Amino acid sequence: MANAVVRGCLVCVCLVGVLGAQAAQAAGDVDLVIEGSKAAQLDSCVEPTEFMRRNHMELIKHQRDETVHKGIRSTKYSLAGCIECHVSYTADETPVPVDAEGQFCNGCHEFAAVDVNCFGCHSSVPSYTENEAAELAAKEGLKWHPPLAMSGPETAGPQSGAVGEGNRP
Amino acid sequence: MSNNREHVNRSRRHFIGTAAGVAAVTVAPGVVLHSLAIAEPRSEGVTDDVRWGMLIDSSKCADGCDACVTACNIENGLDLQQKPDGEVESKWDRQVAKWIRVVKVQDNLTERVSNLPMMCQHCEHPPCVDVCPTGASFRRADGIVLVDRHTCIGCRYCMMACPYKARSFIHEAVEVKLTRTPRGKGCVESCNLCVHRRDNGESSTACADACAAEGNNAIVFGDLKDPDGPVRKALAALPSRQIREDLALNTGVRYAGV
Amino acid sequence: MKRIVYREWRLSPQRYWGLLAILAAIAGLGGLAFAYMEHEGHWVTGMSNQVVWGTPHVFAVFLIVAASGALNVASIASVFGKVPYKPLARLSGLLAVALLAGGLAVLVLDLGRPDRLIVAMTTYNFRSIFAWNVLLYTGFMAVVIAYLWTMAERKGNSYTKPVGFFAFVWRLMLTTGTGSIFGFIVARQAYDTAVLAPMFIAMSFAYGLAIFLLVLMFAFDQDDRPIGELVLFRLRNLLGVFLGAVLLFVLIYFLTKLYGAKNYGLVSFYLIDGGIYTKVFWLGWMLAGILIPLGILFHPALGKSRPAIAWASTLVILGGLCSMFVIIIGGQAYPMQLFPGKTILESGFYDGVGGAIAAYSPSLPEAFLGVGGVAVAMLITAVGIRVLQFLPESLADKDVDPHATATA
Repeated sequence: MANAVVRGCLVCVCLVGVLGAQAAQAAGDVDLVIEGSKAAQLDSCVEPTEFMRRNHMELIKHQRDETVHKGIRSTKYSLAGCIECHVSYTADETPVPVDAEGQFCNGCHEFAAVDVNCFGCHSSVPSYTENEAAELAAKEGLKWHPPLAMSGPETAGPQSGAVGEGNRP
Repeated sequence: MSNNREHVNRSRRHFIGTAAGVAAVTVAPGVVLHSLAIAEPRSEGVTDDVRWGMLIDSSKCADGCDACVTACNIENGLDLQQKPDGEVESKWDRQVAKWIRVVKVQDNLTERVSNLPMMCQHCEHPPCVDVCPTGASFRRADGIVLVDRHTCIGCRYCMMACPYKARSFIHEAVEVKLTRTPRGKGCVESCNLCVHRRDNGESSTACADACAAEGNNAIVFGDLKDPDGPVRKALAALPSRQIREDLALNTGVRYAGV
Repeated sequence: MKRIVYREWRLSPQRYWGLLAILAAIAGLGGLAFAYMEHEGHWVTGMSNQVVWGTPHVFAVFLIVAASGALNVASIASVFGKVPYKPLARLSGLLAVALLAGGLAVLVLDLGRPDRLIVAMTTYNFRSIFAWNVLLYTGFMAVVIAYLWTMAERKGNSYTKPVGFFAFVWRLMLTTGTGSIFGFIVARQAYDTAVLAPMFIAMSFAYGLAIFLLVLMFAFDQDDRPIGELVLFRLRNLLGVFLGAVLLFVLIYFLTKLYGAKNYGLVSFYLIDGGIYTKVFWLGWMLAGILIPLGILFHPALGKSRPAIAWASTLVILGGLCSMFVIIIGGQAYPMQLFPGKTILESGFYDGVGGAIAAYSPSLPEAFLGVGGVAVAMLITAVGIRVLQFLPESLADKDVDPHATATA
């Protein structure tokens, strides 16, 4: 008898939990796109949102092999492209790392408890030189121009910052 | 749920096929015109129609010059590496990643001194590729030998096996990275002939450009398979060899005057 | 034939748990060292871009090599049919698994990206001996566990000989694979030689048996179980023979290297002017690791003394660690010969300027990790012999079959 009661309670709790989660999912067109990022100005991602939510990791994983092994960099599934679009900026136009607390990637990944290991190696802000940034803006006809992400030696000039030669910045 | 999944798979394949076609058509004129200002990223996979290589003329390598090293460091974000707090300077200098270095050698008998830059030699039969347990160290179709750092487990066996000691291990967490050259703790990397430039349609490497800018022109970069290209012309003009030629690795980087 | 009785290790609970506590603490320190190394990155170790494999690899390769050798005693019983070794076979199998587990733990925890272990176990480049080793090592554990089952389970007894033979062949392949990690490297002068594979096999025989002897003597001594001279002196003589084999391969290695003028520098580095590597080679490996133990084991009086035999085994083990240090780290320290006939005056990447050897000093995290692996192996052994029936009740002469050899 006690067993049956306990089992019944557990079933109820589970049902509530599952239904609640589904409800939350269905209800959620929770907008994680950050204000001020390029993505906020666009209608959708490179694929429909629902598709991206479920499959962006597969796209990234497939694309990385295409890029590393075959050198293909022109597709819209570029990781650098994702970052460029989804990164947000502070008031003085400094980009905020896209995997930082409260930013685009972190919104879902913290909830899902999936480590965004990409940014261990990949830059989480668009880190381009002035020239690269100008080229990208010219080619894609962007009104929005990514600022230089860090004050590295590109800006300081070619003779500084050589590794192991004693004149480290 | 399963309906959703089937729908997704079909449309994804269709979409990538179309995207590749559209991208190819869009980019094709850009690729042809790549000598103009804007570089076009590659949309078709690399093939072995091309083999990238270099000729380094050590007689033109100026004593005390390290322009190639500096240029490589800037191009590939190597100068952004920061010594961890608490690390001894001398040990850090042995652990920091370097893709290219200048070596000064003296012949034991004649006492003649040569300078030359040394980097990954992009062998045709790379020992580093043979020993990598996961296949992360690989040779691309166009001859560039590089590490797929998504698959690298950081075992450093390739570093043991490289006959030119060309590889570096990233010993520290990397805070600042360039978008064009990702870098992270725990993986191995080496000179990749500025592969981001290759894939974006640019015609040379940072080191070759810097050496030309210095006026020395010791590094000639180009396609080894193109008989009219700069490297083959330079190779025809000068006697050259591979470093450690007895290993018969058929390196992509050749040296004259050493 | 007298029936062999196996019984659990009957140490008093306080001493047993005390032993486990000590081993667990050491293993725990190893775990902390790993966590520190993984979190900070390898800059905290003494390893660099010139010496890429350091103290953890010395311990890991030693443990793996000893693991395959520890199985030897069981092989002698099952494959070669020597009856006095039969009671020792179970402990031999357990020790083989335990040592391999310890060695693998150290190896895997030293990876730059240990979180990618799954990648290492699912993605293979079969040109690499490392890839083969992943399969050889894990397969070895499975085969030895199956072997132990055939010995322990009455129904399995009839399979002991074929499975034992399979395990013996597998263990030889494993040690060949381990030696070939270095033997296949064309780049470094100290390696690139086929003799490293049989040298590692000979070393595995010696180091595995030394560890087996020490564990056996310790376990039996703590539990007041007798080891008769019949068994003990056989094992002693075997250890001596194996040390002789190691000496032979070292001799062949150096004599062959010496024949090539290009190797003069290497041989003099190892034997004369390599600084710490020369010292460790002569004092640690040759003297303490081989010659003094040989002297003890074959001495008319000392060879009969149990403490002396234990000391000889200990020296062999220390010599084994020294041998790994000399081979693995010494081989990397010797400058790579990029320009034969030339001297390097300057280099931006430590290419042996003026013939300088690469700098390396072991760091505390590396040492803790390595010793932690040893503790893991001993922990598995201690728990195994306590909980299951691995140890025979007695190895006294009267309990071991007096008919030494079964006819083949």
